[in-house]
Amino acid sequence: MKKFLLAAALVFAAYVNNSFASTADAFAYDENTVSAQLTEATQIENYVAANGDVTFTELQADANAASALNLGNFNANTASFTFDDMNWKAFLWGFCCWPIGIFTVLIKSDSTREDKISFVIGAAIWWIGGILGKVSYTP
Amino acid sequence: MKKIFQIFILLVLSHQAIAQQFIRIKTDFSIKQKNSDNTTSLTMGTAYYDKSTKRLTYKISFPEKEVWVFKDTTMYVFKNGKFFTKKKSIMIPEFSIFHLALSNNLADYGLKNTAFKVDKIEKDKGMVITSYKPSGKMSLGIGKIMLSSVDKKLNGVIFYAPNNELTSKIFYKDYINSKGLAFPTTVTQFTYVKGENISRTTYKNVLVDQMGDEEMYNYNIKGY
Repeated sequence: MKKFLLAAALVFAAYVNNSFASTADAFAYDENTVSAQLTEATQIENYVAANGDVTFTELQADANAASALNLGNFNANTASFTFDDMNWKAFLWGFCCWPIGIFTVLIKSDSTREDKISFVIGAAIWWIGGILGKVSYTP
Repeated sequence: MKKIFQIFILLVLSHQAIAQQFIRIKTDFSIKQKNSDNTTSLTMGTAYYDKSTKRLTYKISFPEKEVWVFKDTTMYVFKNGKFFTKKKSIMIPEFSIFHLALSNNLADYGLKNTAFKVDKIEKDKGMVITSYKPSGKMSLGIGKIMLSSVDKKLNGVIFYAPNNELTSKIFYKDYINSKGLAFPTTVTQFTYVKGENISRTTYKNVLVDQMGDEEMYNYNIKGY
């Protein structure tokens, strides 16, 4: 009987949870998680802002910076997309996050050719979508 | 008297219409990223965009000092004030957040009058949420897009794959008002495909329709 009640309670809890999930909930995110994930980048940003126009090369040569910051994980080329075939991340960058995507995929020297192609395809679809829409919209 | 009043109203309205035409924007920016491979990235600099010439210039200060100029379908790269390289790119400046904002199209992410069609509009928890569906062959590669707006300002965009799998979310917040132009100074993006990537772009010192800095708005690309 106890097991039955527990199962019933779980089913009810799941139902209630689903009942209260709304479309607006999809637009929620945890700010604390974002801040925590970007801590290293924020520390570097603050250091650069406080110490004038320093480049990453200069930062690496600066003993104080090297000890205060975790530069080991820093990707100066920002090209972290290394997929074999169609790179969906690069595609999405191109599709929905220009101009940010441009910093991450298209022009970094160690981005793979596939990354760049995927990015361009994503952007192209956006562009073509716009053109198609305009053509179809024109009276 | 009635006619004079009507003329006065027309003058006021036309003045307001003219006042809403924005041409230029300059802003400092930083893009912080946490990649799925646990690496960190940071890009900092100043962006200059002129809607009349459709030229977008990035003066990048970090990680290395470079200038990138986007004009039509070409990107020009300058290092130490000297031309370094140029590349063909279909990433024309009209796609940028700057162009959308200056054209008053940011609220609908520029989706209005495109191949995306409105599927559903609902109000929920203070947001107006609009679902767009791609039409025709676009639906083979792209799923629905959901836009939420708060106080008629773009709040978030959610992208789905054709199989309805969540692929990316972008959030716009901390709007400032510069000369009547609302511009989000914090843009946060999550990309969920093959691991989570988080990116946050922060804009500071946003100047709309400023005079000066002609050498950046019209960075010399002649002859390259």
